[in-house]
Amino acid sequence: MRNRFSTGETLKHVVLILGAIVVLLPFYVMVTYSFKSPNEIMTNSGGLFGAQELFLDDYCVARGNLAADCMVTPWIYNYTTAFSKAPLLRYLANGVFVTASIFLIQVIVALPCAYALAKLRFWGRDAVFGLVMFCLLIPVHAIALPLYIMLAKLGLTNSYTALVIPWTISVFGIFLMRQFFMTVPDDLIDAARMDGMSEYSIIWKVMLPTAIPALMAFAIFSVVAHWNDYFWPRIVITGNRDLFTPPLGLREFKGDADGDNFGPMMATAVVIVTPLIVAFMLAQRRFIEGITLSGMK
Amino acid sequence: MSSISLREITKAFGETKVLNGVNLDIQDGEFITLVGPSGCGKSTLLRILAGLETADGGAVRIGDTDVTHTRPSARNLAMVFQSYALYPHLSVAQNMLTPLLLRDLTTAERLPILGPLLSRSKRRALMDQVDSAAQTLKITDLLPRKPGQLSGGQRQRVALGRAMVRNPVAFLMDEPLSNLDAALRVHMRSELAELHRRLKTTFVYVTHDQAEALTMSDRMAVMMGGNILQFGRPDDIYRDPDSLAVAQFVGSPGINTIPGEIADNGQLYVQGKRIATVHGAARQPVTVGIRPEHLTISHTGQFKGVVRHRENLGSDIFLHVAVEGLTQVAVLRASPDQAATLGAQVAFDMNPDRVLVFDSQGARIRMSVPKMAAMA
Repeated sequence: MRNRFSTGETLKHVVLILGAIVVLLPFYVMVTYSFKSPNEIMTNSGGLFGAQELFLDDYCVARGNLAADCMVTPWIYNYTTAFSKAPLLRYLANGVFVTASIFLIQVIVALPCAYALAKLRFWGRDAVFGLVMFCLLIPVHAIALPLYIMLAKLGLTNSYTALVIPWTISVFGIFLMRQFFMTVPDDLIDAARMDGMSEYSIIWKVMLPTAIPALMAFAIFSVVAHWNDYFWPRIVITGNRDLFTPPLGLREFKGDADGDNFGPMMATAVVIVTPLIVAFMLAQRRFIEGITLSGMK
Repeated sequence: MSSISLREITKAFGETKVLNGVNLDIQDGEFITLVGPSGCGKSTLLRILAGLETADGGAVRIGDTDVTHTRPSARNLAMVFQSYALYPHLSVAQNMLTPLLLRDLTTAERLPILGPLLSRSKRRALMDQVDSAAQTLKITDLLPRKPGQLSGGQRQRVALGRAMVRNPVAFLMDEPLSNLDAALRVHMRSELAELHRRLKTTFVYVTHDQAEALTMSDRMAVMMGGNILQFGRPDDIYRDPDSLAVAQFVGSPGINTIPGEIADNGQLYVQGKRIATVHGAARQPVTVGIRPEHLTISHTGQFKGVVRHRENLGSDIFLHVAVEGLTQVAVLRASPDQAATLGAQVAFDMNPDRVLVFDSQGARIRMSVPKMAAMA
């Protein structure tokens, strides 16, 4: 009798579906706008993909071309404009470099910290861990101004350093990895010591491989947060467009005098989020595989 | 190949004293068991010997060298852990190879890509060592697998293999069998003993299971409350314990303890019945210990009681007998054909030669003068 109708289950699914719609609707808008012509966006017509009827590119005409040569297909226009009006590839490269650097340094800092907090006995360990917990409570925005002033005094604004440095110590990462390391049996570490590994070797050769699942979870938080971050790059990158990260690139389409250019803007947004979605789908299986410490017990 | 000696080892965790000046001398090639209830300090003692824990006081010597302050890896000891502690991300072969790589290769030779090129012949020699250890333990076909794909018994062997490849001065084992199921545990006991005979290396084995200690060791040290109460051959400890605590800990089912007294002339009385003579002992209340196999059923037995419970082990039956005037039941061993039914009346005798007498502090009072004279 597994297929019997159940009011409770139905209700749960209705609520979940409504929730999913709320989350997915902006996403849907982004994707469809990236396919539509400006007229279709304004009149909200054209369905999912738009009619893809040719329309007249005003900029093209303004540059002195014949009107007949300036008829464009909406989705091609949106995506080519996204890449041509702003150096989107450069922004994407910046984004990859900054996000990867942040994550790498976060791991280099967090793993030894987490190992010490979880497995070494030293005076004041609990107090230090208390400080870590306390730092989790500080919102980024509260310390943004002092951070900016410090970087400005050091002459580091408008540099990759400014984009990366403030995020290299992730208290969340330390906390997450520490909690995971607590579950690693002490015997494993003692065995490594008997085998002759130094404490640093233990971190990189024993703890890191066993911590891959936890590290992947942390990677999601870190990469998503910094790839999508608009706030911090907006503060420290004031002039140099070569340093723009993808979210900053979106601003290029915020028209000032001649109205907003939503089609290419949404096309840019699609390009920016696609790497994250692809990465997530590829990594999904590893998350679900879960923590494979089965070799221990 | 060398002897190991622990001198006046003390250790406290905060306020709790774990070891109170423990001395232990282990001869080369011996199978020593440290046995005791949990919390008696046996694991801590082993970890101090391994170097994983530092003692608050005392000295550890291996052969002629003082290793009290030597790093664990430099002591050339190998340890087998209760949870096996295999590296979960490495194959069995790599697990066994790791200690050798770390010991025998230079830092440059251990580099990720360059290292294997620099040290090909060395690595091949090390791999041969792994292969021969794997053959000894019959785990050759497991070498390419990951620990997660192995059963408990197989992991146990791999952990042994990882210890064996180093040709250590001694094997340290911390309850290595307690994660195995009962049948496999009994099987591994004989395999470990066999392995010890073949390798002729010192084994220091920690367990809370007195049966493991009795079956495998050359000598066993019974530990309680941070002290070694008695150190000797399993037979001697079983037959001739120095204290009530040791007598009660060793043996399963446990020794029967019955209150008794020594009268003026050294006569030992239990429930008003004369059992034996203890020469040279003063008049005092005592505790009489007697093992289940030394109580014999007989129609003319001095003691009578009712069978409350039968514990059938197949070859033997242990009868739990409620004896009049005793708060504790007496456990006695009977063969299946002479065992009484539940609720039946039985009469039994104590074998007077096997009675152990302890004073009110739990210390042993030796019985027979002739034996003492023979020993002297």
